Amino acid sequence: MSRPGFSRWLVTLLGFSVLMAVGSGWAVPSMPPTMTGGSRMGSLPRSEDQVSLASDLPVGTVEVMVVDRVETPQRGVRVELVEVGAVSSELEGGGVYAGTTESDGKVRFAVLPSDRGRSFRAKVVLGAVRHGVSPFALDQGMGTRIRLHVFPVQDALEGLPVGAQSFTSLEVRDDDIHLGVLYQWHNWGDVTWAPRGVFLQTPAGCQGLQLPERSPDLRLVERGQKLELQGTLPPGQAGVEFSCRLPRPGGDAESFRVGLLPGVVEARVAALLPPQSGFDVEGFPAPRATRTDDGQRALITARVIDQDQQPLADQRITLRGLPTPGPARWFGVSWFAGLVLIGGWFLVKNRGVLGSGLDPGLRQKARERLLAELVAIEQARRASTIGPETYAAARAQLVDALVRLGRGKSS
Amino acid sequence: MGQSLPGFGNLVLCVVLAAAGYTIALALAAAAGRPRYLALARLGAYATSSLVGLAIVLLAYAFVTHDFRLRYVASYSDRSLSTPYLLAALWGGQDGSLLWWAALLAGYTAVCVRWMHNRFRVLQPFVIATLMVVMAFFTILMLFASNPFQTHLAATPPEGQGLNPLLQSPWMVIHPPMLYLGFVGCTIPFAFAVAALVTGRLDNLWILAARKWVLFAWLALSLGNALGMIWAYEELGWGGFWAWDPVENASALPWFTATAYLHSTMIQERRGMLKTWNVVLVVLTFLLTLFGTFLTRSGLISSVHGFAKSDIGVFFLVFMALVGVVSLGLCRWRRQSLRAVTRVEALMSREATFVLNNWALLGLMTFVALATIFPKLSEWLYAESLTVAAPFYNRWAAPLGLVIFGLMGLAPLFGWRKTSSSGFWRALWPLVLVTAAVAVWHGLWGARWGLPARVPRDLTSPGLSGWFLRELSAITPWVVVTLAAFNLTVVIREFLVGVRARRTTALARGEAEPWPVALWQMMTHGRRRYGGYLVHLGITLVFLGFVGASWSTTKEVSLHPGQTVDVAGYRLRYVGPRICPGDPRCTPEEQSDVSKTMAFADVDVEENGRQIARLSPARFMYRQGAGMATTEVGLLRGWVTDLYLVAGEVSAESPRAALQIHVNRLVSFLWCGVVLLILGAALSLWPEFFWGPLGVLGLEPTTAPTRYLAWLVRWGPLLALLVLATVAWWGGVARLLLVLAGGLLVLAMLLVWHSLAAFSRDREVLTLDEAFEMAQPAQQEEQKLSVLRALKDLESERQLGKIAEEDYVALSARYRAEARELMTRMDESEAGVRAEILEHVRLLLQARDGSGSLEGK
Repeated sequence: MSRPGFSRWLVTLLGFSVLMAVGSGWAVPSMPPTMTGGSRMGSLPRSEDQVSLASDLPVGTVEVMVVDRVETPQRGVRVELVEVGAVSSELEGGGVYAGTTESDGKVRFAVLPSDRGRSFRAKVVLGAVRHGVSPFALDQGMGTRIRLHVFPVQDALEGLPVGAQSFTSLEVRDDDIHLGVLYQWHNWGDVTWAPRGVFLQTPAGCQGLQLPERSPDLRLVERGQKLELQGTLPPGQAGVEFSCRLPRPGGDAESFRVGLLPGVVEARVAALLPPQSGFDVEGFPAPRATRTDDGQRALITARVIDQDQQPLADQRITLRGLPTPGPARWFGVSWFAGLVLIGGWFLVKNRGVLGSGLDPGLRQKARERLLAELVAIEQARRASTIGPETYAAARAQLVDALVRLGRGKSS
Repeated sequence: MGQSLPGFGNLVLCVVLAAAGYTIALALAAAAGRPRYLALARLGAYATSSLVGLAIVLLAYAFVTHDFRLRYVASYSDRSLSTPYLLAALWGGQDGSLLWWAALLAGYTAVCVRWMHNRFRVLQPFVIATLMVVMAFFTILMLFASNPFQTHLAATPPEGQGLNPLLQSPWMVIHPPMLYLGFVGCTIPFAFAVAALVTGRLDNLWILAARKWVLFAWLALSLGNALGMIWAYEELGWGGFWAWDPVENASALPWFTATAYLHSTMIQERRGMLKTWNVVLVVLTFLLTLFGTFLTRSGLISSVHGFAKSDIGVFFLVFMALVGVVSLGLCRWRRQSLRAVTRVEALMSREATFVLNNWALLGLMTFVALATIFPKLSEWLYAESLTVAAPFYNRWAAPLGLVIFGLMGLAPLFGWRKTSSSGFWRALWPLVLVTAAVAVWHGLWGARWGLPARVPRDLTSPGLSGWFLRELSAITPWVVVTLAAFNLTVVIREFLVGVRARRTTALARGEAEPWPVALWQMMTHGRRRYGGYLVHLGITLVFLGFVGASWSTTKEVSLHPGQTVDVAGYRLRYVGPRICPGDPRCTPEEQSDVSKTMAFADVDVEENGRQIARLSPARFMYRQGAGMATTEVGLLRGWVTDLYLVAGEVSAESPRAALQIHVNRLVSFLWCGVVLLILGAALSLWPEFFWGPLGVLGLEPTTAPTRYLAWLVRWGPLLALLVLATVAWWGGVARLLLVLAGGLLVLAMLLVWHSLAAFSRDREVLTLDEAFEMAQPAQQEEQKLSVLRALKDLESERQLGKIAEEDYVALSARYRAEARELMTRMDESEAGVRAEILEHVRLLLQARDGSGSLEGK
């Protein structure tokens, strides 16, 4: 994903995959309503919530009507009206007005202070979920009417029309392996919380973890060596992703496990690899080769998990045939070390001649060779084949050399 | 070859390692009583060097043919680079610069082995082995940590990332190779020092062998640093040439120790002193070259030279530790042989000033080294990285620098051993007179010329030391000018006295020698001495160039077209911006350059109401390298003043330009000083460039392949040049490199084959050449030569009037007595041997010819 080419390729792959999912019978839902908030204690969607002034209501009166997604009034729901900025009061029970809805889903709060600058918000807490409207100020001439929507919230994926596709991308680089994992969730039902305690194990040696935000309501949070899924799954699509660098293997093969989140119904693994390299994923069909836009070699494999199959907990990916420096350098080092040791051993064994550089046998040989040359020079001079100057110079050199050898011997 | 170039390159590196091991084994065997293996070790060294040469040629070929399969080529070049920059990219990054280092070492090794031939036979095996160990270190480094032949793991990119625009300067094409030439050159003296320590030959033998190599390395270092200063001055655009950047410092450190060694080696040669000191200096110089490379490449300290960083630092640290420990161990082992023969006899002697000079240089080196690594030291000590800025260096280095500068002038006035007081003062007073006149002139009228004697400074540190440093810094310009005058007059005096002495001697012989002839004869006969004086002259100018920065003026202005500004006698009129390519006023070259956008700020320069130049400082925005921008200065050079313009902001969007104006003083003195320094060092080096009589690779041309090899080596270089020139003319640089690679491969194979063939032959009879090689001069002969050299120096100093007559008589008598004693001892020990030899020959002749009479006695 570092290079634009690869990003483009991944986006293409993602689109291709969604099309494949549609083609294989998946119903891709329409886009969900706009989300706000999203934490477990945050507020849920309230796009249709309304806060309006009502001339039929007395000054200082707030009427809250609680309805569900299909506008059915909700009876017996506890509604709180909290003065904004009075947190301490809220904690102590002051500044908070509570009431329960009647059969028409309404509850009315009367005789409230309407000074300028004072504002309130209405909220409904159902289980661990809070539904609310934005803060509003009371009008000094009329009352306020609020329409607040509450949604049924699921706390487990089982039995829900929710599924995910996973895309694992690998790029073997010069210094490391880039791993990117992307989950695309599809929710055909109501908004639901991500299941509690769902962790994703990152591969061993994962460095430089990146957690880019793909959806405002769903995210992965780093917890040591694991990633925890948090947030809500809105109707429609939502995604999470992470990426990191894995150390480059020393050998020509490398295996690692990439954990999977629950609910994955299709897993896809793609890799940009050097020539002669390949990969396989345990339980997946053999990858097929393709080319990216910029001509790079890519291998892709995918697997659909049927309902009657065990869900995938992780993917064991093995890269094979990665280029390695090969053994030649070790041969070079071995030769070097071996020869140096032989030379060193020889030197240590004959350390007595260190500095003079001659053993007695060789000295004698050199002496004999120079003597023979001296005799030859004398003979040549007698035969007048060399002149007196050449003779004198050569003779002096030879005698000097012999003297040096001789002195060495005597010493 | 193109298909398998990466694999082949890797294979070559592996073979280099094996060849280095083979050479070391043979060299060690030669040292251990098998001298015949020395010739084979020499062949091994040549073969290893050829293989490293082949590796660098392969990499150059990859650059020229844009082989982006190689990571290194893709990282440091692209298709838009011209051939010179493609070749410069060889050392643009880490992997390539390590190979470049190895290649230079290969070149040095080949030349050194050829140069040694039949000399220094005792030292040769260990010199070769040491060089091969260093070569092996760099090869291992490349094979395991920083391989220039490594390919991409992923697909080959269609285009490279290009060379850093800052490196795309003609100066950078020659600056790094020159600096590396200096760095690598320090390996040769180190190898000789190790050889001397291992063999115990710690007399003058290794000193004589290493002297010229140190001088050459020193010259290359000086030149490399000077080229770096020119590059910084013209390319970095901050107005100066030396910023005390860590990498600049790293290149200066070995220069300090090498300079110290060049002086201390003379003391050992003449007086037999400072043996340990010299060994330590040589080892330290070598270690500092490694440290410089480590600093450049490891990214330990942040620097403007951080063109390449990696984790190879640990390799360097281990190797440096190994070198240090082994060297110290050897010094301890040979501590008896390292003891000085004599002591400093008088404070008023040249050796005493040299020793002081050495300490000052070493002190300066230590200061710079500590300040350079201070950010790291402070990180370790105080958990906080404290950076040392240029003003700190300037304040603290100045006192030591001035001491060295002063001693540089004083030392030539002294003679060896002792100098007569009367002679010294007689020589000194005219110099002092001239110097005092210059000092007074500068103090009184310097400001009128824009060169005030005192330049006020800010207080940078509290207390007395802070006050002292501030005051010293304030009067440094005056002190430097005064000392420069002193140095200059000393050198002139030395030349005058030398010529006069030479003419007097000639007259005594009844010959008249005209002044120019006497000067020429004096310089050619005393190359070392007078080359040194030229270097001193160069250093004097360099000091003046440095101190010129005190008088520089800097101004920052923002101008609209037509506006003018007056700075230090210049009037600058801003003409307007000019964006190339595109603007019709651009030159054809600027219009055709699509690799970058060039924003020029054209400025007309007027002096005394007359336009003297148009300068065009610019900002270049490169398309490659994520739109990196560089600053191009507008420079008007002068003998005394440089006008230096930097465009801080200029663009097509606004007619306004922000300009930095620097009026720099005496910068040209710096460059002139460097030229003199080169001339002086070259003069000192000159004789060593002549090759000795033929001795082709140390082989006797008896066998057919050897004869062929001998012929090849004798005529090969000429033949190779002809072939390469033809190929370059016919097929371009790529084909030239290909042919060169082929030639080196064939040469390496021939050498290895011949070495192995000779190794496998166990000849009973030695060749005459081998027999001669085994009869090397003994230590006693070296001592005799040393005493004779001392006598010659004494005569020379007497002629130059540096020694009193009574001292001359005493010393001369002492030297002559020493020489006589040595000769008598040698004659006594040799007389018997000589007679025995002649008798032996007589008997042999009698046995062969029936007559045993010898013509010579």
